[in-house]
Amino acid sequence: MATTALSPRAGAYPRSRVYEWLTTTDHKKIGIMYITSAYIFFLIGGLMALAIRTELAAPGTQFLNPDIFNQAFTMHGTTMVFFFVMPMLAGFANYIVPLQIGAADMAFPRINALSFWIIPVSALLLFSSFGLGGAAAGGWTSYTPLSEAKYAGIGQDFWLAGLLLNGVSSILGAINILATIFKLRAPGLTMLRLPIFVWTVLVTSVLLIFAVPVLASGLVMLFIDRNYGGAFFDPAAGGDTVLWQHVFWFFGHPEVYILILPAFGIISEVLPVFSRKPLFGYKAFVLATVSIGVLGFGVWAHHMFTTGAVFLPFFSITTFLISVPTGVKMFNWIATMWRGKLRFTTAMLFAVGFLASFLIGGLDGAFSASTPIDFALQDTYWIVSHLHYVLFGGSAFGIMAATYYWFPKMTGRFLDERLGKVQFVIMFVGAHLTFFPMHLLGISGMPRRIQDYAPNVGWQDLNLLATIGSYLIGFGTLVLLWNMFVALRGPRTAGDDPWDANTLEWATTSPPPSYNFDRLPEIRSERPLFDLKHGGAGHAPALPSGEGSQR
Amino acid sequence: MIRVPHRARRSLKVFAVAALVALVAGACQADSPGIFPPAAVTQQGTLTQDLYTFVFAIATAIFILVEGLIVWAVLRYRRRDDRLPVQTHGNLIAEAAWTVIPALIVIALFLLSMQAQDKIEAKSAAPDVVVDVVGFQWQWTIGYGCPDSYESATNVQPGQDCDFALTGAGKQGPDLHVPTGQTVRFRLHAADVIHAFYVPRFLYKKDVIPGRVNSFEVVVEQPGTYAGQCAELCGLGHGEMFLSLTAEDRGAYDAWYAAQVEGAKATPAPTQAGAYEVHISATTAAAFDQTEVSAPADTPLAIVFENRDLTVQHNVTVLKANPDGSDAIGLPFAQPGATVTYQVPPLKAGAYTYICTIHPNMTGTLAVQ
Ligand SMILES: [Cu+2]
Ligand SMILES: [Cu+2]
Repeated sequence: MATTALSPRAGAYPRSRVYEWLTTTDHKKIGIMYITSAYIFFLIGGLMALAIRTELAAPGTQFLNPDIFNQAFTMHGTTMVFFFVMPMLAGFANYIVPLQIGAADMAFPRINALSFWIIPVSALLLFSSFGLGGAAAGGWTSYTPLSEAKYAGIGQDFWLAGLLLNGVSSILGAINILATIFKLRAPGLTMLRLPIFVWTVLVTSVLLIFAVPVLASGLVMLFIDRNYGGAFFDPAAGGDTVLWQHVFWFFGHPEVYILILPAFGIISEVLPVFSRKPLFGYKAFVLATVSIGVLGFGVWAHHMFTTGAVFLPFFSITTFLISVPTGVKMFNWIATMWRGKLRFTTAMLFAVGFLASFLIGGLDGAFSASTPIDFALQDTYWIVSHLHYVLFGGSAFGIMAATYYWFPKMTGRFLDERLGKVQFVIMFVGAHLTFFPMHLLGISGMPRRIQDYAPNVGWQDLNLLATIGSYLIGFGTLVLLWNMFVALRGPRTAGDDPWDANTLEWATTSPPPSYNFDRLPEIRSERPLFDLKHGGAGHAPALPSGEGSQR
Repeated sequence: MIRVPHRARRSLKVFAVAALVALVAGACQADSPGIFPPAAVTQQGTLTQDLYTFVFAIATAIFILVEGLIVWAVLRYRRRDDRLPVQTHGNLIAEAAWTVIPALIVIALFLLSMQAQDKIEAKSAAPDVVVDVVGFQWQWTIGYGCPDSYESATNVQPGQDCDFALTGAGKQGPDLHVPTGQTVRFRLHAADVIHAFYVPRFLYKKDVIPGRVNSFEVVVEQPGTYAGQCAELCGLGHGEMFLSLTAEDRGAYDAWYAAQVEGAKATPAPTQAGAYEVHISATTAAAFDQTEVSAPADTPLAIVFENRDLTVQHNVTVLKANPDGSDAIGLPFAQPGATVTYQVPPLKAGAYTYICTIHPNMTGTLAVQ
């Protein structure tokens, strides 16, 4: 464990602030660096998305030729998955988990710093390919044989190396989080009193530890194929090209839950606070999270229904079934708001926006789990729509909620609520304007990953609409950046507990001292701060929490 | 009891809802993409269509229920005072209900899906027509009357061993014909990377994968010509890998078939007397070996094209070389390792561009003096 300073004065070395940030092992500073760099990658990946949408706004080639276009969507997907959402959620986990469990830091602070600093290095490796012969252009899924040496240039090697390094960071981070949650919980904080955000991060970390090594093995196999005469995925030499898809999706589907479960956790923190009620069905929620984690490893081949190489009934039924725990969560969230006292802060708006949007992404799942319907929709824009409803309407909205919710804790300052609401409306409208038309385009037969389409097939208007929507999302992002810029120059007015919240991170100053807590309240439920403020009001201390008791 | 929400916020909400309604309404107009798939033209696709409609109905009901609950909660439970609401931790009956009911719904959907899937994926012992489809970067070759060995042979190149083969020339790709009302089996082969054979009006697609032969069967019920397109990213030309499919009654199909066989048998016209020979070759799909060749004006040309690229077929098409200003498309395509001679009519002096139809990035200049 880190040596914990006993007084805030103790660590006052005469060092520059830059040096302090570069060498810090404080989980809060590392968390902020994760979040900041993830936002930078969000801008980079977003600009690539806008370039793609600009090209697709009208038939014909106006802006990107097919070569650059293929690089753009490959790097857009890779950036958003591996360098925006994953590090962003890792950043929030880094900052919030030790605070929520009443710890002074992560279990391995120096490994924590290492796992952060690997990210910019791996990004440098990945993005340098743009200047060295072109980036990877085979999609973020990099299916073989298109990604083999015969068809893909050196950018593919940079992609493999960058993701391999990125995976090391994920695994180190996951181990660190697990050790922290299992070993550093404050007295009285039993597993069934953990905040739901901690639970989702815990399950996510387990998923990472099982899934990322499988991806790593695939990356290494492909690297050997490309550079050392291997033939893992080359049918001409006795390999099997579908094997890549199995390996990739065995990682790739749990990855979807890695990208969304912590967002579920964020929503489960925000909704109860701004409804002034406990999370409805805490234990069911934990069980649902765990079962999503388990089932998540049994659905990977639903990405491969059209390969003709997988056993359809098995992957169809598991995919149908995984919607059940997800549905449980949706109803639990609504029940949490039910008969509450709702306060519509920006964080709460994004949480409600999450529910409204993620529902569409979830219902889409019932279509693609049905094999015949999937045969029609697979690899069309419908899939692009579905995955963005999950990852933008889900993960990104969750990240926005987290940003508005925890910004006061991290900086001591509020983000402006009026600007926040403007941003929410722009982004909400923008997201649906961008992604809903894609459903219709896909149903009518527009394949994904095409750089152009004919003017006479009726896809023009909807594509234009989607492009306008994407510009709105871009504009909403500018509002957020402006909001942050203004807030960071303002005074620290937030105080310790600005939202009247429930969990331990609000029981210390904003921002917290380097050692986090002067003293901890007694922990008797999953809402220690609520108990402190309301003397256990509305909560019978004799009962274990979440016992289904209704008063 | 519902307090009137803040004016500005309400107008924004109204705007958002109006935009969505306009979007859906616009999308529901005839002949434009909508929330339902285009009408299926195969027996199998009709099953998918019915299933889609059923799942859509259930999804819509759930959507309205859940979004309705969200909107109700948002409007009804707005904070009005600081009194603590009742602290409800859960309700076993409610939670059991919203676990079990969705589970029953998805199991029902699963069973219905499997029922349809079994029919859609069924293979007959003796299909009426077998069509072999070869996907390559970035075109299709369609083989008719190919040997039975194609059922499992990978890396096939339909040519002499089939009755005839069509390779797409130009952007529109090949036009394959099938008879209506009869069982047609498609066997899918890939020559290089993965492609996907997708005809939207079939409501079906299947991957075309090197190292394996995928197949599926349809009975096309609706005569007509339908567009198809590669659906799996396959490189630079992925967006232009088109084909069309014409379904017609058996009589018309047989006539078309006979004409194709006749055309394949016809010996190519002998080199015109006094034709000037131009030699062009290609070793890769990146470029022709010769990017500048010359020929005399007002003389028939014979372009002797040697395809030294052992991975994929190519041709030589001289742009705007026909008397009517159209392109002189080099047919048939030269298979890997093969040499083909293309006849080009006499040309006026000037510079002409020649390309490979399949790989328009392969270009050269023919200087006619
Ligand atoms: Cu393709
Ligand atoms: Cu070519």
